[in-house]
Amino acid sequence: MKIKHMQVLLFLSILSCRAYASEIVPMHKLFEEADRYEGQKVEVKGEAVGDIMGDGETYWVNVKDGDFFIGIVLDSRQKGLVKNLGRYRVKGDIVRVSGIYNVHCPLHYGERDIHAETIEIVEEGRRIEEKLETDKIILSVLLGLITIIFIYHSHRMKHRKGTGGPHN
Amino acid sequence: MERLLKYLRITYRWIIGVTFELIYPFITFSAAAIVCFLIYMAVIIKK
Amino acid sequence: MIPHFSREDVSSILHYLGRLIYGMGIVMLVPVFVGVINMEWAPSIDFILSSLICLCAGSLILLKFNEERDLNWRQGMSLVALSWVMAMFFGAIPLYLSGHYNSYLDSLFEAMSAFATTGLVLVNNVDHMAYAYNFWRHFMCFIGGQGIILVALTLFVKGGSAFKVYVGEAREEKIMPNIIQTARFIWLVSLTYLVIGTSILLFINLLRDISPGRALFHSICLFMSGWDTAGFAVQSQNILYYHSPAIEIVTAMIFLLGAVNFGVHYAVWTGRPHELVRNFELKVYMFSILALFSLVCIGFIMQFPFPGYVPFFRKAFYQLISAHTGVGYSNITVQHFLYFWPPLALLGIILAMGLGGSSSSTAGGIKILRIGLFFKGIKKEIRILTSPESAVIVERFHHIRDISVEDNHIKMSAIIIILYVAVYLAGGVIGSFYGYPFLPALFESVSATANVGLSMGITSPLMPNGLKIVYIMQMWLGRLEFISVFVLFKFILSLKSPQ
Repeated sequence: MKIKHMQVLLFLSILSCRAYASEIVPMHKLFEEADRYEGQKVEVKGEAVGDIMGDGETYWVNVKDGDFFIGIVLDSRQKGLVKNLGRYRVKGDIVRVSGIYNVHCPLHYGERDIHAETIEIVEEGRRIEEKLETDKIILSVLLGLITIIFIYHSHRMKHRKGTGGPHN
Repeated sequence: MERLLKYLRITYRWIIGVTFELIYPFITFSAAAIVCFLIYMAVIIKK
Repeated sequence: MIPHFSREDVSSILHYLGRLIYGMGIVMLVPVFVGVINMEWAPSIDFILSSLICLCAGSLILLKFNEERDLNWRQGMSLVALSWVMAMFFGAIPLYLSGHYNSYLDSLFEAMSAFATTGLVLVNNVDHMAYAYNFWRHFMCFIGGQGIILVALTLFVKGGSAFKVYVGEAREEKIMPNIIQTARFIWLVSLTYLVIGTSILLFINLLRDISPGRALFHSICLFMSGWDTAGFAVQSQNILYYHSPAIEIVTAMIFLLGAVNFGVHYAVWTGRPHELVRNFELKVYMFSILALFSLVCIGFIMQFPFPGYVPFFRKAFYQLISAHTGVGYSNITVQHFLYFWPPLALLGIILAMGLGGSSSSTAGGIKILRIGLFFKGIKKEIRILTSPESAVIVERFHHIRDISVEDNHIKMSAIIIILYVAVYLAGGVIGSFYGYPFLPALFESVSATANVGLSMGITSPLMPNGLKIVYIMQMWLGRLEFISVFVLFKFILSLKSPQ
């Protein structure tokens, strides 16, 4: 029973590796071993962040994997697939892109890019609610009161000074 | 009237000034582009 | 004998410092506004809290030191140096509260980097940062680039004190007879270009399908950081994020103009456009850009084949002018510098960063005028030695008006050049003590001191804390051009040993 269980697990893990991890190139490798991947078809996975920018025909989206980013060139159909872009309060779609990697793309004036052939959403992005911290609010109110007292005092002192009263 | 003329003159100078200043970066760009092109061609031909 | 600093000195400095901190509190209400219109409540509360901390501290100091006196030179200088430190400490509070920084030191680094218009960043995950925080990062660049003191001058320092603090902030020229008018003129230039630059960038961003709100945000931030030659950008990838030659051309225009002396702006705007052609500093600048760019070109093309002329020119020239004007915008990645740039090309970039932009502009570094004067000095010496003894040699240059080169000019230029070079090298050596290779360490050190912001990868949240402090010091020294910081050091030392 136990062995069977293990076999199933093993099979499943191999299956999942084949389906997802086997061909995905970690993004840092595209930068560190640029020569190796130049002009090759690669597959990367990461979060789409920021904006989709374009001129009506070709579009750019930046994909983030750890501390590394790469510009993906999309056509107008592929552009429609990416719905959530990573911003404040938004976790962007995790996309899996395969396409040709160029270190100095001849089409785009030397940009480092991947011309997407396929793009698929691995995990849909979502909205993240912000948390309001009550400590900060309480502290603000307290500080506000203290500040008002200080300002009131310094104004009164100035006033006294202005009318020739003693000070310091 | 005189005051109006004065302001017009200031505005005119200001617009001329800004226009000249906006041209200035392009002179830098083109000078650099020419220098770069010459060096680039020299190296390519040598190779 | 040089008089020691007295209690009176301390109280007048603290009085103005109190006002400055109070002013910071008011300025912090701008990001609150940005936060509220974007319905970012948590960041807005952070800014309200930070603002209240500033207002509270400022009013407390003002309560204790409420007497306003005219400042003398040493007080003015010390005040300037101290106010930048204070601005860093208070400006870093909202950054730290944002949670995007590993430690308060990191946010101090970022605040100093912004105020000194350097552009080295330690922020984590800026792509998911709220608009309010991100705006504050760029707004600090704008305030710092204009000059914290200059901002304060337009608000509250009066009369005779004004010039003394103005000079402390690395601007020895008065454009107009009155310092307040000068400050206003600097604002006029900046705001004019704010409108022009932001509109062009907005137009491009809108054409590129970015939503109007975000396009406006990108444009304003890019302008503020570009004009004040800071080099922060809204996203982690800096200018590379946009993948747009148009954005690169416009930002290059903005920072090239930002690195022009405000005196030249004044001359050109008041009916003397020929100043652009005749100005000695601009001539040297053009020559220096072309010479260093040739160095980069030769270094690059010899070793590394770029696919064609246009990509090469785009990447290499953008980096070069970005370095030379001290902005630090980059359309390549850090790894590109590391893996593709040959040492000769890097040397060209390091030299460009070290030389910096025009004097009395928003740029950092040694400043082109000093380099020009230094060479004029050499020329004058040679002419003296090769002329008959009775001959009187006068060397002239045109900078707003015709000026003859005097020994004092050359002396001051040489002192500042030597100080900068010493700090550049010292930073490089310290960097290599921390185990980094010398070339990247020198690159980073020059970048910090000359307030550029290009990086070869040393600056990261994981770098040693000691090095972070060294770079903060370098940015501070570089921005204020040493003298006022040295006066402050003398002040602190004399406080410790009163005689």
